[in-house]
Amino acid sequence: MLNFLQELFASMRANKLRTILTGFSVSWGVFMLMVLLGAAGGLNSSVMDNFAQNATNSMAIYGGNTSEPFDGLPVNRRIELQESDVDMLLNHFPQISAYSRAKNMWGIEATVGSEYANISVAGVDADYVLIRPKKILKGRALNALDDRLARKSIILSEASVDQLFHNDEPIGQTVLIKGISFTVVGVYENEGGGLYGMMPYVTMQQTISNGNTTIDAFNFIVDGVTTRQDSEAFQKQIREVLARSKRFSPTDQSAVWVWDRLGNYLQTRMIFSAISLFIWLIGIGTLTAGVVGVGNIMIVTVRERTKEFGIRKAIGAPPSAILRMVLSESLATTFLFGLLGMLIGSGVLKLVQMIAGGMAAPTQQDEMPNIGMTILTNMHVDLRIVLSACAVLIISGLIAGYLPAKRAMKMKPIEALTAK
Amino acid sequence: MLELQGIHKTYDNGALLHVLKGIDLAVEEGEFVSIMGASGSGKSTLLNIIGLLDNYDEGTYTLDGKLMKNLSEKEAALMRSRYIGFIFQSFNLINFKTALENVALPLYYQGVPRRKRNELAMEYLDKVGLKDWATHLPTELSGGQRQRVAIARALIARPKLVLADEPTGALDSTTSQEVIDLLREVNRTEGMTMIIVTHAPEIARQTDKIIHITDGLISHVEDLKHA
Ligand SMILES: Nc1ncnc2c1ncn2[C@@H]1O[C@H](COP(=O)(O)OP(=O)(O)O)[C@@H](O)[C@H]1O
Ligand SMILES: [Mg+2]
Repeated sequence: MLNFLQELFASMRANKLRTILTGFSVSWGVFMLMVLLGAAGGLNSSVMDNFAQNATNSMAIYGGNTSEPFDGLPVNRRIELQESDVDMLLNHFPQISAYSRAKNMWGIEATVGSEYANISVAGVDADYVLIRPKKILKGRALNALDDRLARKSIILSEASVDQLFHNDEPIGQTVLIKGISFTVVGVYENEGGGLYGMMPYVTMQQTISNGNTTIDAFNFIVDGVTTRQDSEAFQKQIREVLARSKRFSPTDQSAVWVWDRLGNYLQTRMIFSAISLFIWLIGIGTLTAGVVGVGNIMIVTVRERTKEFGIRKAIGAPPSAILRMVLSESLATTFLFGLLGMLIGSGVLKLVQMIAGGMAAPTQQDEMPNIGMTILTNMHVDLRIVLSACAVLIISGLIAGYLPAKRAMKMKPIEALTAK
Repeated sequence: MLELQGIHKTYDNGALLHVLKGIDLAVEEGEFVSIMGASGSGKSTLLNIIGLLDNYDEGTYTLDGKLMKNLSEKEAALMRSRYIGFIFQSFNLINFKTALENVALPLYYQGVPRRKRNELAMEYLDKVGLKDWATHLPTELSGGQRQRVAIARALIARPKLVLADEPTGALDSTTSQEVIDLLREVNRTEGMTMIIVTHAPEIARQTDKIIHITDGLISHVEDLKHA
């Protein structure tokens, strides 16, 4: 075996340039495959992460402006959601299993002693956490008791806490907003940072809001909706019910905005599986080109080395030795250079991940984080992909070498010897 | 050692070319035989058939008592490996291997371990006077030196039969004589059977027997030993 390897590397060394040229196409193929698959993986986990943060069977409705005239009413009429609309929808659709109203107040001044910060506060119901879960870093989330008693509880984002409390313990402390004291009960992680806070909707209505019953969003979870068809049908029903009571055309898509997370999720997942498939195809295509390249060059090699094989045969090399020699040269070339491509590929993926990780900038609350950067940060190399790439390499090396090897083996020694 | 009876060989490259037209030849063990003849008379063809590098169409060829007919490539390779050493006009060394590695190569195909292989190769290089050139590539050697490396390679597996196709064809007369002296000595000391094809009468005269080939047939045999 050692003998054999020495013999193999001697002949690979002797044909350095050719070996390198051959190898390069394979390195390139594997490199492309790695990077593409890495990107695909990154894309997938970014998007799926993003969905994982939110209950997938949730929907949200926001007010909008009409774009179709209805019943003699003009276009561009503002449609606001009211608390009463929520009650009506809950009556109408028993399959809504959890819900939260939301009212946003942007950039209001909060003070703690001499520290102050302009934070954006959302008033929500306790079930909000079911619909858009937030990671609680300290203390607790808002709960049903806060709602029932309309307690002046508030939870703050990390950045708000940093600004208001520095390194002091915030839990149990008081924050002054519009002259009213609120107790900090929890600290939550807000993707992308930012100065935010949340308090019970009812508390907000009784304290710092203007008290009107207009809400900004109605978030809810629907049971029994699992397919895109289901969710579209449900969306249509919601629009019809709202259209009837708020007097707009049921086909008017902009009168109210419906954010359908499940439908989105399913659609996105479909798009991404298509992209993944496409990327696989490109990757495999590139690799195939590499393999065909190796095969071609092996054919040339065999032709160039015909005389050498003739000499080897004359001095007693059996046909199997020649076959083994060509095959293993092809295999070794493919494998070594494939490995190189793989190393460079994972190196590049790691590097991109590091650089992009540093650049993923903070973004607004509840918005999608900078998706491009997240994809890059999430780029990774799956061990399974590496292993299957290895398998592909071995098989391709054998395929690429087989025909040329067979040819070299079959040649009559005298023909090989007299070949020029 | 070997016997040929009614050997015919026809090449078919579009047109049929009848090269050997019934060769009858016997070579005894330990004989040093030369083959002479005009260019194109079929000397190389004959030698290649004897060396199992090529097949023949008609007749019988027995080597060491075994009939060499319809051998598979594998069987032929085994026979070559065991019985036959080749020396060519153009040396046919492998360019990217050192003198030592070239000499050792036949033993590789016999499964001899590397250390043993290199030891023997060094011994044979010494025999042909090239011990100091062991690590040189063929391109760094003169024609005479290359042919001596090739001879060492042909001998290392201790073949019973050494075939040389115009071994001195590419060498000047002094070097030619050195090569022939070397072959003669090996023939004498080791008792290897040798068949060499040559154009040079002064070389042929130093062998035991000259076989003259004319147009694919043996025209006459000169027995120099018993003359
Ligand atoms: N592989 C081949 N295919 C066709 N013709 C060949 C082949 N080898 C040799 N010949 C022809 O056979 C004849 C004898 O060749 P060869 O045995 O090499 O002659 P010599 O060695 O006596 O000069 C020549 O005419 C040569 O052209
Ligand atoms: Mg000839």
